[in-house]
Amino acid sequence: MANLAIVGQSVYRTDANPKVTGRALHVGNIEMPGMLHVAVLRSPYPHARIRHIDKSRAEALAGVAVVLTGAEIAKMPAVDAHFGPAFRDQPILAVEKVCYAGDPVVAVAAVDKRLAEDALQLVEVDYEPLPAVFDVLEAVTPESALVHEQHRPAKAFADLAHVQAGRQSNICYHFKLRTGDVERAFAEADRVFEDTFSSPAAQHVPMEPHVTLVYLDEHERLNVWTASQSPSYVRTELSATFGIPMNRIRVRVPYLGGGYGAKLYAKLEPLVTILALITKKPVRYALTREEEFLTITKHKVVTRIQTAIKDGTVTARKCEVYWDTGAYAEIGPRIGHKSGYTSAGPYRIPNVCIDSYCVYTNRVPAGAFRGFGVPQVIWAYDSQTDMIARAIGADPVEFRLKPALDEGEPFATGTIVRSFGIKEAIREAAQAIEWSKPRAAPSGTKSRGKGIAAGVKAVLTPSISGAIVILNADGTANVLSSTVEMGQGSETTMGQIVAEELGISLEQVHIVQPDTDATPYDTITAGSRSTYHMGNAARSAAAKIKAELCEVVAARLEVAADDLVAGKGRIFVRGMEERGMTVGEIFLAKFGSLGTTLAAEAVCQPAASHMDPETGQSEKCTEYWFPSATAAEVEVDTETGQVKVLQLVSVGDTGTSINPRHCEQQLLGAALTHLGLTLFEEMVFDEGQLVNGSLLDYQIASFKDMPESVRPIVVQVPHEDGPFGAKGAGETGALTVAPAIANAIEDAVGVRICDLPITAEKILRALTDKEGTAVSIGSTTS
Amino acid sequence: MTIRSFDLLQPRSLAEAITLLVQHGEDARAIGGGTTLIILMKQRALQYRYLVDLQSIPGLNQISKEPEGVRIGALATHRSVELSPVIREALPVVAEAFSRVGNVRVRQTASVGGNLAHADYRLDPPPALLILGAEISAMGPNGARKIPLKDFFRGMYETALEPGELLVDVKIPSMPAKSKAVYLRYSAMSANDWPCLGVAAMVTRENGRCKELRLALGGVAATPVLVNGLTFVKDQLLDEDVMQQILAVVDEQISPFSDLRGSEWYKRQMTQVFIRRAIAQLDSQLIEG
Amino acid sequence: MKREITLRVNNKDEVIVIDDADTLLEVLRDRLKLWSVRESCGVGACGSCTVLLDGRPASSCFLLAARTTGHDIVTLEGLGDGAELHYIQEAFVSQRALQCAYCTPGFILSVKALLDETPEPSDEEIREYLAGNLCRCAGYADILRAVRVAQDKKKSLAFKE
Repeated sequence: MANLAIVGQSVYRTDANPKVTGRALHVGNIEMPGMLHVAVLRSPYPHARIRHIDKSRAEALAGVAVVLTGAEIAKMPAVDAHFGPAFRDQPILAVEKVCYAGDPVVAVAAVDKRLAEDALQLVEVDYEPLPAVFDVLEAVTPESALVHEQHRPAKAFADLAHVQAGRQSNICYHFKLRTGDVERAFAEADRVFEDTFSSPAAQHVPMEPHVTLVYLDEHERLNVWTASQSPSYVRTELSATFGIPMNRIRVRVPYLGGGYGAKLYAKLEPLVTILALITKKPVRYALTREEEFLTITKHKVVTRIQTAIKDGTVTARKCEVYWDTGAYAEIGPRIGHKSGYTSAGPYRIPNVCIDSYCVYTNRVPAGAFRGFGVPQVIWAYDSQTDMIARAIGADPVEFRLKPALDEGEPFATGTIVRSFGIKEAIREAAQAIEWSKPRAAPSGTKSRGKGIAAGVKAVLTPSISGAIVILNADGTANVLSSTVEMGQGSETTMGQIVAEELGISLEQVHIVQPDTDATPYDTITAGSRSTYHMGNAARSAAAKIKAELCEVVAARLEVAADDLVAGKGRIFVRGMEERGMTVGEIFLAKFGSLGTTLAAEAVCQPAASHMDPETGQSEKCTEYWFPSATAAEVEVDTETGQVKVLQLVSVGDTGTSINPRHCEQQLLGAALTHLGLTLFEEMVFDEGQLVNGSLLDYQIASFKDMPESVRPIVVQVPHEDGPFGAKGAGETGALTVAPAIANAIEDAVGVRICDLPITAEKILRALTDKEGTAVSIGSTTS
Repeated sequence: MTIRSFDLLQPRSLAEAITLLVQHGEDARAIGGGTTLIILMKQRALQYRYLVDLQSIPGLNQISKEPEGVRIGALATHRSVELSPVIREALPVVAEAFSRVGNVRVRQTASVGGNLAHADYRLDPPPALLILGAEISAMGPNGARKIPLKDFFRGMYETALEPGELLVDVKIPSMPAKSKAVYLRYSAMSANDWPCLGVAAMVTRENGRCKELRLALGGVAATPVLVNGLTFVKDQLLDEDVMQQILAVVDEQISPFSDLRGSEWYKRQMTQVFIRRAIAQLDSQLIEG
Repeated sequence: MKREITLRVNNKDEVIVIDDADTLLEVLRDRLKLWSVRESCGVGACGSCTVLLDGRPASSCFLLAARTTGHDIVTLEGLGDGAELHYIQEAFVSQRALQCAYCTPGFILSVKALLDETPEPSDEEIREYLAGNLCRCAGYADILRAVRVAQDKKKSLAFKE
């Protein structure tokens, strides 16, 4: 893009200094006089009726302000005892029954943490265990135990307006897509491939666990400091739950110590709010790591996928996707919908049938996780694509490239794709890993292989971002935005966009952190949507201000406003920098004083067209797409099954980069995180009990797991409506890591793993099964 | 997570510590480095009214060279063992095993005595110490006694220590002449994870043949396992026939159970693989050296 | 039991009354308000609560404060002269070795200890030493570069002296 001063430059982060000095504000650093601390007693049973709770001994402890149960909340007038973004199914504290092992049952607020935890030990709960269901495929059968007897829609988001009150079933949401004549295509196929893939529950492990502080201010207004990715939603939710007018709730979010989807929607806020309302004291609840594991997970998903091949081409695909959303739906229905409709892949397939089911089980609730469910569906369709290519003797790269959608072609939903660099991404990945070069010969017990994977995610649509830009008389600007800086660099990105539009420097822009008293509504900071949505809103607001400035200058200098440009803190005639005015001069001219400000608001609100509930067809199902490709080279030890990833190349089409270096960082960070999710991360449950809910047992990718060669490649296919052509980058690198590695493993040793994580043991098992004999004592060679 | 309030008792001598432990019985526990104990107490899985601080007793953290080996005080940290010039020179396999525990911060705090007394089946040091014939010195209400390390581990998280008895130091004999030892740790999942298993092996040579083979394993039974019945290797070449016999002996003596790091099947397979690898490594070292 | 202790933190003696059951992390944060020290895993596995104890990295979450008297404790607040960024901090900025940055204070202190112990570490040594510091944004490649830049800077500073 021509003539841009700062957009497109890899400037340093504007939040770097507070972050490297440890001075960055986090919710955990905020204290209020007389603040109480919370401890929560959680259910030991996955499904049980609460017969009786004896809390008298806990209440008698000096320093304990309140010991609260769900039954008490349910009796409070004007309080909705349940909350949730899709269904109001999650109790603030369990009412009558518990639905997973870890479900909050009793909360204590006390003058210090130790005392609160001491008090919990004095609470006695009598449970009556109920039949429970832990398996998503069992949960959809008529014989299954029911997690909830009724499903009550929440109506909080436009895109979820269509979820319906449920019947007697664990399926809380069913998305359908039908296009072409699938049955006929299968009947006419040369070959049909049918496979089942699974992806386990996993935890986001933000280094900062959830933490929320609530207090009533001098006007008895509810003040909420919370580690959240969705401050606007939190305010809406608290207003709905407690019947408090929205202008009497103030939600603020300082720097976030990682989110990855874990900190979306409401989590601790309803509980801490009710404790603050009862005690009239500031209350803070900081989750322990162990509680974090019991709060939210990545969806476990089982996908059955059938593909018809005719003349070497995919002619039809049927997908059945089962999302284990756990005990409470959380955002599961949105994921079942948005990820569901992409589950046949970014390919030209004339006949597609998709059924995507969001299913309750008695496990920890599942929600969004970097990629919003799309990594799970790509795991299925790209793995199978690779298997088919190998089975029919096609080159896996060509087999993807040929049917990959071009600009202007319809997606399975009927939506015409735009800014869709999937082919570019695949080619870049193949080239980066020298796909066409012959593979290295096996050496001893080590065999090498390469894999490519490709897939696409669609941005959440519709959604809304509002921004206010305030220009000060000295040429500096404040930007009011509810986008949360959680590591992705949004503060820097928004700063670059506004600085560019107003012709000022990055240092002259201050991004105000989310504060619902001041910053306008934003749907969520998630889904790779902020650069586009908030970026557009901020840019439009800045453009309005620029237009006002130009009007003054045009009148003063007697030039056409169209001939004016902004730069170096001035408005001047294009090509004649000396003919112009500074912001100060313009303010003096306009207001007669320097003390004032110029403010403008803008909203970015891309719409989606109606999606047919029976066929999933929509003229426009999404505002934009994120094509992704990953290339991996692995070395497999055939004696142990252990995989060493030698090379990992993450390719993503981010649209035009506002800050190329930060786009690369997003791609690579997401890819390395997903390397752990691919090879070893899994929340292991035994009869509904989490077995590895601590960082002693649940491992995430560490320095030692990083491959020696890691490389991000940013593909920039501009989006015509994006700010300066930008789309987004936060999730793209996450999308295709797992299948790329599985594909490389098959390339190396000829075995296919369909269940994540791909552990060494699974590979050795598969190798052993392939050989037909168990590796008996001494049969291997040393 | 917070720890329930307790009193930290800081004795100045072993005798005083033992008196305190005897006096308070089950209400008290000794704390060395404390890494594991503090975590369990924060989780409130363990609660005590008294902790008896062994760090306050002078001299328990010494590492000293003795005529026939090395003595490591119970309060020596993993890191000090790992970096000790004495141990690196005389018993590199011990330095290696200690260097594999946890992370650098854990090793900076965790004590040698605490590691052994915790008796976790997966820890790295026990197999290395077992092949070297290490011996524990303990002191308790009934006086001092020596416990060969091979008799020390009694079960999952169970040791031969009696109530009120403290691990004072561990003595590790010098390596026999013409011997080499190795410790191989295998993490099947994240490279940072607990081991799936660990194998320590020592081979002593004489006249180009094997004089003695010692093997010990971690992670493949409720306790670390020192393999018995390997005397048949004396005067043998470690060829495939002998290897088969070794592996058969080992397979009989382990009793792995499935955990997060592998099934019983997998651990048996890996035991075979890593014993072969350990012996192959030693054999080539001996041939070269 | 409550007791008064003197903690040597960032070159200053802090006299405070603590409970025997208080961890060093609790005392540094709740009492001394040293917010760079952060609780995350609570089990010594992640490094977010790293402090330097006599120059060596330690997890403040599993140390009893009562047992850290007589040691020299340094938190990120005590790194450098406080006026300008320390060269390790500068390296993290220039190499963009931070995202959400909740882990950053722990990483910076670990890198300090690493370079003090091993002025010219191999890649392998860096990975091993920093393996116990977790970054869920997974900026490990950036951090590795930052260590190299800091290492060079340290060397050039030593040369000047």
